[in-house]
Amino acid sequence: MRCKKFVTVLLAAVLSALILSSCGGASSGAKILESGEKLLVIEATATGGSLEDAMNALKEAGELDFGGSESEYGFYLTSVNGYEADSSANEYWAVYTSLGEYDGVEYSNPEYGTFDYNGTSCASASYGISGLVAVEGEIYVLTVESY
Amino acid sequence: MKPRELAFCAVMTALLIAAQYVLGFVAGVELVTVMLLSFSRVFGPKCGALTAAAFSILRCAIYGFFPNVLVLYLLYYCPFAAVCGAVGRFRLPDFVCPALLFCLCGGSAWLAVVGLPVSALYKAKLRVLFAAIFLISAALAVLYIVSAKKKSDSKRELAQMCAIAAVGTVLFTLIDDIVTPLFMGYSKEAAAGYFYGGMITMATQTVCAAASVFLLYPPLKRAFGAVSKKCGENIDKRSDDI
Repeated sequence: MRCKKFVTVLLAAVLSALILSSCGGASSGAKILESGEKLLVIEATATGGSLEDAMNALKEAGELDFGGSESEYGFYLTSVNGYEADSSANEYWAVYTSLGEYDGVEYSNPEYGTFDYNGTSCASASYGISGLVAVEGEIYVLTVESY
Repeated sequence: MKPRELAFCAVMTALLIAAQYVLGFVAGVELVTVMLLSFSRVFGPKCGALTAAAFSILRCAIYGFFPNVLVLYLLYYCPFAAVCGAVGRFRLPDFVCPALLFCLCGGSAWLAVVGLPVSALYKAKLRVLFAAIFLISAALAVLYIVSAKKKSDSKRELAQMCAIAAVGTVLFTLIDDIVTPLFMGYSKEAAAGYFYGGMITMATQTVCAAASVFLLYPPLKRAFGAVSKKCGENIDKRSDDI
């Protein structure tokens, strides 16, 4: 019985630690390069925080609107500037970035897919918007795709 | 297989698909493992494996048909259900559960210390998750050893099922790390990126699987046991001890 109690207390402690570890993260600057119905191109103007933080900063400034939900994979983006990806038509918001390897971590890989923006080659991101680091000068493309 | 057993499998398949769909929107909550594990434990390996196969195929109607995902589900869930069902019929050798937990403890402790080349935004969270897996496996090992000494079969079984769920969840990701790159024709580098990218999900789901089995296995086993008894089924000879 004592052992079972110990495991229960341990699970509660683990949950608390996870919630705490999810908090924080500096917000960063970004500017919108292009915004269409099914396309959004952002350039990071500062390094630090995630792409989601940068998008939240743009949202607070009234330049961008987006929605989605938290999932175990991070933030799951479902709508940008009023366009909701139609899941019944197998649509989703895909993320591409010019950020390749940074600090020894691969953030995108052309083998997953590529997107060309004004001559800048972007590769499909290895992470969602909450896992992508915002790096000054790098381009982040959000576009609607279907599978 | 009797028609009544088939009916149980059909209802369970529907429940699994519903649970996966409804809880897919809730971060870090995955109940398919504990539901399939409890069902297989009570109704046996044959019913468990059949349900797992039906679930793997029919969920494509909701999530779309992706050959790599279907192969992954069939490769993982069918043997997983069969193993859980077999545990209900044959007593596992005493060393199996501690060995599984020892592997999980060692692996998670090592990964928590050395770290992995994942997104800078996930590094701290991943270390916490691996430390959590280490602590949970260590606690389960203690629970198993103490309950084995005290001859408390229910607690021993609970620790055993949690260990199977946690190790199974790790295996699910590792199978995916082989199947998906093979189907997509990824190079070594892209496959490595896919492997590291999936680490945060694997760690979260492993903690979730151990926690959900620890909390929900006893009531689910009782519920499935009551259903099988009420319907006059004697599917699993060892389910009488529920």
